[in-house]
Amino acid sequence: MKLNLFIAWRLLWAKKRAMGMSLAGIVCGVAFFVLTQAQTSGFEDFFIRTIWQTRGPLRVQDKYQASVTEMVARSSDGKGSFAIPLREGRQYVPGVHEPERVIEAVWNFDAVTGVSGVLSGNVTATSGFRSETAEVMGVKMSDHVTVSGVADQIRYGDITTFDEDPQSAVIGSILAERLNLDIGSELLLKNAGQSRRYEVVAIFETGVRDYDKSWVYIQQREARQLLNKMDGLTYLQVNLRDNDKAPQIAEQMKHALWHDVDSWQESERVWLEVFRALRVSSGITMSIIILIAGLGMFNTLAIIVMERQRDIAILRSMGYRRSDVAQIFLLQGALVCAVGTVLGWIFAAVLTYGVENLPIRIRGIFATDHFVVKWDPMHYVLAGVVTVIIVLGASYIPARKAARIEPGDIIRGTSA
Amino acid sequence: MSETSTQKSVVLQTRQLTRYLGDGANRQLVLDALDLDLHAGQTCAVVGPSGCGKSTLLYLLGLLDRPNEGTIHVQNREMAAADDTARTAFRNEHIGFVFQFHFLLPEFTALENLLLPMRKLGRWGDEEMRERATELLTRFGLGDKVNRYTNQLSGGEQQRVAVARALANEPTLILADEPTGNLDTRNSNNVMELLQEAAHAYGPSILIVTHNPELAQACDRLLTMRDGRFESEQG
Ligand SMILES: Nc1ncnc2c1ncn2[C@@H]1O[C@H](COP(=O)(O)OP(=O)(O)OP(=O)(O)O)[C@@H](O)[C@H]1O
Ligand SMILES: [Mg+2]
Repeated sequence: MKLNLFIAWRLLWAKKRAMGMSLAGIVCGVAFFVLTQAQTSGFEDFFIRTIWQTRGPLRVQDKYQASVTEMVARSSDGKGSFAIPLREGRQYVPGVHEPERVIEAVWNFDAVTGVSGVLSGNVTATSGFRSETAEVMGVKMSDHVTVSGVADQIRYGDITTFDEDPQSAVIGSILAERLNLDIGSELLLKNAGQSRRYEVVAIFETGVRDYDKSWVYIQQREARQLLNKMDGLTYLQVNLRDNDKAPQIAEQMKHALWHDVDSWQESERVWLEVFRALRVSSGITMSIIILIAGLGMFNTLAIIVMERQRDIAILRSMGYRRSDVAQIFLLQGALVCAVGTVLGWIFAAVLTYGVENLPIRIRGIFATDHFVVKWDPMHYVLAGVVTVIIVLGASYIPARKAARIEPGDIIRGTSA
Repeated sequence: MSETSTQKSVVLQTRQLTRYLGDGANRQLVLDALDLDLHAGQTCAVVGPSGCGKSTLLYLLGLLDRPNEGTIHVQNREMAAADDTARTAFRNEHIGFVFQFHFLLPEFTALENLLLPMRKLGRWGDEEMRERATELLTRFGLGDKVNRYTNQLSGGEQQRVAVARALANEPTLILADEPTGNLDTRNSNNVMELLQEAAHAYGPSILIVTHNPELAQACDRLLTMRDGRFESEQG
């Protein structure tokens, strides 16, 4: 093995130009593979974190009742009839009923780390001469900070006195801009002929456009008055110890609470699929770059085998077995593979670091001012596995061809 | 000759060795049922016109090619029909080959070219292999060029490296196809002396194909070949 490695290295070195090209291809392939994975999964993770920080991992909403209807069937002779009970599914009643009891039941789940009741509804927000449709979120802020990232999303002002001051309103950045509102500005919220006056104490930015242009946090008691809802809540936002388990916990809660429970994976399925598709397709594209480099490598190795037929025959005549010859060529592939992968990894890390500091302003589904990347060893492992499979695959055929060379044929061919 | 052959053990023995080359209309009988015994510690020259089958015979004896008919016993083992692994291992340990066109590996130095079969065999330790190889090259007058890549050596120097490589593993059978083809008289005599010396020192059997009558006469035995048959023997 050591001897074969030595021979492999010498033969490879003699072809360093052609091999350098393949090597460069592999280095780039590996680097871009890792870089694109770091980016796509970086943005994906960031998007997921934004979901957790805004709508929360789990929502308990809409109470349901199993509704049963009957189908009446007549027997064929027309004399008798019987009823078949049919479960037609669930009949939903909007909102959370008897919230105190449901909240208590939610807390019974071990996985739960926070619960916040939200009473929401559409209102008209007015300031000066401008009006915008807004969604009031009646919350107890001290609860709500445990189930969302609202505390970190505050850009101006502060929310420390929110729960004490019934006049407090915390509004989204886009809404603030549209209504020309600042900290301390007066805000009028109107609904069904009612009009109540609030003071802007803080402005938040989630990065999610839909929220930033419409959400207005006010105290829950205020929301009750404004929306004229004397009991019940719109939904409970729930935080979990392990957000990845949200679907299973949602399923359990559904049965225990008789309410519809929605996990983040379910409600954001479309976007999550988009991100996943992006990540997978960029992985495939970059694998193709590695594959092309692998083809170049195959080509170079095949040429080496052709050019080295005589040397192979000599090695065979000196007592090198077929398996030694095969190993010598596989090792050449392995050397390029190893060097290419390691250099590719280093290049990938440098590129990822560079991209991480590249400015880019994104608003809409999340907010960031620079590229988001994820440093995940799995990306490196994956790139390595793809490279090993492709490069060793590309070396296998030339190696087999080299092993099949008959020393007698070659030597006679060159000397007869 | 009869005295030496009875005293020395038989290293190689062929019976009815037959080889055809080419296909179809070009098919040609190159070796015609050859019987040959080679003895330990003996040098044997094969001469004959170009194309009479000398190289073909050497490839068969060197287990690089297989005969169409006949047997090759080397050290009492039938090798003509043996499997590839056995033949390969046997080549490594027991056969030293000097090709008609001194094939060296150009990516390796003269010393490394000698070390390739030695390391494969693994009979000696690293240091000892280097010492032996260096000493061997020195005896061939290449002491100052052991670390030269072989494409930086002259034709004659390359040929001497090739002969040295054939001796590296101290094989029981040395097959040399015109080992002095490119050499001047002095070097040619030197190579011949070294081969003789090796034959008498540790007793391998040496078969040399040559066009050089002087060299042929210097061998213990002389075989003349024509059209795939041995025409005459003297020794
Ligand atoms: N691949 C082949 N196909 C058909 N005939 C071949 C082939 N190789 C060699 N021959 C023929 O076999 C015969 C013997 O060739 P060989 O190389 O053994 O000759 P040689 O005695 O070594 O000649 P030289 O002294 O020129 O080296 C020649 O007539 C040659 O034309
Ligand atoms: Mg010849």
